[in-house]
Amino acid sequence: MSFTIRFIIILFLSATVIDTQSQNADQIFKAAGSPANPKVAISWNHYNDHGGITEICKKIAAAYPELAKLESIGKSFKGREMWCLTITDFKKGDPEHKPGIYIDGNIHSNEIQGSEFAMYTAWYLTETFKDTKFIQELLADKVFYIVPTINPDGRDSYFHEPNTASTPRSGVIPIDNDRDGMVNEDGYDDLDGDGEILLMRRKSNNGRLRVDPADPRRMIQVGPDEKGTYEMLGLEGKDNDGDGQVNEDGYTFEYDPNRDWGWGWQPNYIQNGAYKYPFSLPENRNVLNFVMKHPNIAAAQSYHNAGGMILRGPGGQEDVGTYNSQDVQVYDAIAKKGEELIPGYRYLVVHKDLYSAYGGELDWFYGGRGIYTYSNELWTPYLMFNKDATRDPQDNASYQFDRFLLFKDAFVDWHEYNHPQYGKIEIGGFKKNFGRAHPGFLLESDAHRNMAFTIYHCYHTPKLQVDTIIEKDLGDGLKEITAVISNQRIMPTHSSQDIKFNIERPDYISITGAKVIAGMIVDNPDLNIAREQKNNPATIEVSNIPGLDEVTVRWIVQGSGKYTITVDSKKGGLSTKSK
Amino acid sequence: MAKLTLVNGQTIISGQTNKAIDTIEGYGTKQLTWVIKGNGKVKLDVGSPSTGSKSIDISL
Ligand SMILES: [Zn+2]
Repeated sequence: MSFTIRFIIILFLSATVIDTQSQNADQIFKAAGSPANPKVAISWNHYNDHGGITEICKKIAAAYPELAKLESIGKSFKGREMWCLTITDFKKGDPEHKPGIYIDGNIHSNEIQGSEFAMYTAWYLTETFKDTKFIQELLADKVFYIVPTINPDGRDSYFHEPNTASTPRSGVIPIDNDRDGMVNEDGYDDLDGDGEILLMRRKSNNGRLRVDPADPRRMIQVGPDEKGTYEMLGLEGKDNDGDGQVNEDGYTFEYDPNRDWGWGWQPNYIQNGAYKYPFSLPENRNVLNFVMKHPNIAAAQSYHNAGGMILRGPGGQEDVGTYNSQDVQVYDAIAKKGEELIPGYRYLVVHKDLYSAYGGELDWFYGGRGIYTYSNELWTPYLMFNKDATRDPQDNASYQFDRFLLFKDAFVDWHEYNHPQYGKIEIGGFKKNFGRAHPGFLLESDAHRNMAFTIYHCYHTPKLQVDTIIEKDLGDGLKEITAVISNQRIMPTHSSQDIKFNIERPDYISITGAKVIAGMIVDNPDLNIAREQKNNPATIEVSNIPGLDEVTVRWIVQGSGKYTITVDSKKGGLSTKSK
Repeated sequence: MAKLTLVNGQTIISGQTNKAIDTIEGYGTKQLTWVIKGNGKVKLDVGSPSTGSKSIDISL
């Protein structure tokens, strides 16, 4: 009897151990560049709804209180918290005085993997900090503000309601799309109840499509001299309100959250998708407020899908002049590195290479705040076989990839359905998790590469240093102190957009502990050409400290003794030197 | 052209003894700055071929 009881207890205990931990630390051999035995165990081969994001963020913050802090930047329309992880070495320096990068994802509801990429970044930085000198130095100097989703309502509706890979793009504030006085009365219908919005097809003697004999899942267009056997009837749905239209007013297409930002904003009749006025969507307004409270943000990244692109502004043709050559140089240098780090991704300009759009997020970040900003369009069909492919339904690559690498998990086979309006039809097609979202086994690898790009971007925010201090005795108790302040990274403290619109105050280079008689900016130290600053000469105001360059300032001081020189820049951080 | 002449053994800490001015607008002004160590007077001559010249003494 007692033997049996003990046996049961042991069984129970071992089951618990297996449940929480797969291997002991000493059974693990570290793979290069990845945390071997992370405190926060997450597998990066699935997606997480807002509840999942909340839990992961809380776990990271709880596991690494000296590296991660969690706050909500506000609530969404439906009251979900918009989480922000601040990642930095809190033991070194004041986070508010470190150059920062802001990262977000998921502004478009169906563009989900940006949230995982953003969280992977937070996870990776905290888990590798202990072993990786580069990450330690990075987090001593810089701060990451990571908001995994800026559209949590839309995200959850994409996951938990029937959808396609492309819906909803919009957030969830209701809009009467067809202006019939009813709201969301006729959206897609999950006719067969499988949680997916698929395609509808019907046999037709005059159809222009037929079944591909090599893969019966695939429909191919017939040539001009052939006869087809099928016609397509659009996305799964029916006429819900008896107005003779199918799927004309659903919750999946209300407005575009990426046409709501306060730079070059245009109303809906000019810019399709704009909501009421700039920052009329609560989620975007929360981001605005957060960014305004953090003037140390010098770089930004927003994650979209799809297509494999590293995008910069301008979004609108009118703003071409806004991006002058110095800023374009900075954008080019960082993004070209990005093309190297993320195979299959191309560096493009929104208005020129895609389409012209007003009121986009990246335009506000750069145009309104002078912050160097990229939008990455995550996932490219290139990644299926590491060669060029398209998302065109006529492209066979997706079917081949699904068949041989995903074992047909991404496709719902065609099956019959009796439609109230169309009669006998068939429903089938790719699931919503395929085509724009990464398949599981490629998610972590591409998250890592995109993270590496944002780390490079963040690394190249300004790094200021009081380099050399040269003293010259002028006699009569007077001394000339010349200080060289260097910026050791690509980014200037002020983008030219910032200087043009006086967005951020100048950098202050100040001397304390000495009686200052005169202060000046030295334009040419060799030829002794300087500009005197008459007011408050102890604190020299410099409009900009360019990237990979230096500025020289000079003071005439009276007396001797110790003094300290400080450079204080909103986007460039703080640095001091005493002598 | 603006030319600063030191009279009394002063030294210029910042600013040039000869400074070319590209143009002065009608009814306009140009501001030049020198930081000088010493005391007494310095002499400033300013002129151009089309305006003639003017000279002033500045007491430090
Ligand atoms: Zn998007």
